[in-house]
Amino acid sequence: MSRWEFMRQLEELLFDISPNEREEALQYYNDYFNDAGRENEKEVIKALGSPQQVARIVKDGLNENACQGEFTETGFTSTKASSQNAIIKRQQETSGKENRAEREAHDGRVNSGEANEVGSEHNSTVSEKKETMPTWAVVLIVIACILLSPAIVAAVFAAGGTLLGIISAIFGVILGFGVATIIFYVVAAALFVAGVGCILVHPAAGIGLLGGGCICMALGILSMLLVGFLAGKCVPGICQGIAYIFRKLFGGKGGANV
Amino acid sequence: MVFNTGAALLDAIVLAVVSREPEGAYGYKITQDVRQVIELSESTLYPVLRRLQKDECLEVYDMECAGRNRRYYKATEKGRLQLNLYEGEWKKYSARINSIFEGGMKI
Repeated sequence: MSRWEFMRQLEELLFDISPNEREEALQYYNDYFNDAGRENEKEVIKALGSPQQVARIVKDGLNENACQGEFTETGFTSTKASSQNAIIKRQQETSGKENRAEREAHDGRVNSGEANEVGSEHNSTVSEKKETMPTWAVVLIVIACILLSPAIVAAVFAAGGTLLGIISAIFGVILGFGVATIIFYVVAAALFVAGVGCILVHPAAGIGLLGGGCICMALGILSMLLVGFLAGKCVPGICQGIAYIFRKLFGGKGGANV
Repeated sequence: MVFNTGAALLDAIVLAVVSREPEGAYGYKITQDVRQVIELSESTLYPVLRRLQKDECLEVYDMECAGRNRRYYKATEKGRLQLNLYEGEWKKYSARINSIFEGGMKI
């Protein structure tokens, strides 16, 4: 595998992360190849492993932030590095309370922006939050969750409805083309039969009918290929997209299995 | 290696490597430098750098080099503070372990 092939595959595999993250990762590995030098290309590819492995590591890194991290007084920190948290906390305690207002604003943002994630996280990290968060912050979060719950429910339903609509539309299109395919074939068969039937009596009309049959056959094949493409490429793509959304929503449980 | 490198220690090593040069260092060099002290797969470092960048311990900038832009990582003020804390913690930690291993030495 060449460097370009490696990068192309990596780009494809990272299709389901945000464009910003994808660009960052691709630039990093592109730089990596450049700095390693052309003569080391083979070794670098071998050392990095497969594009699949690299993509998984990149995505795990993102998941770690989304699912296993937590919002503490300092903003976002990863619970994986628990000792790091301890250090940051100590640092924070000594630095006083002047950014309390900022923290409150931050907590508010956490609730409105990533309400779903916070909701699903509560179970997994609740014990740690009890240790690290002051009670007023917990109370604030609970109140914000209650206040925002109608909006969250509405948003979830709206998103679900939109998703369902899009999926139905795509299946409708596929079904439409499928029916069109069958109709084209039937018409083509009818024209062939009619053409063969009258070719001896009216040669010109017979040839015309056969020609029409050929055109219908071609259109039928075309629309069959289209159905094959839609069903074969788009449907798996949509499924992956949906799976990705659910992974994001229910981060910890779904994401860990991937 | 027998001993695992935890996330915090890896953060500390990366911060130390990056802070050695005032202008910072680029991904490939950081990887090679870190690999001189601990065993590490070459693809492990990207998420670490990205996380430290998001935690505002590192900042990135592009520098022109041989006709192309190379991305440099540089420690921020917060990153240097964090590194100081890590170094302090490490001294205490390693001293305690050493005192157990070698005996005698009191902290």
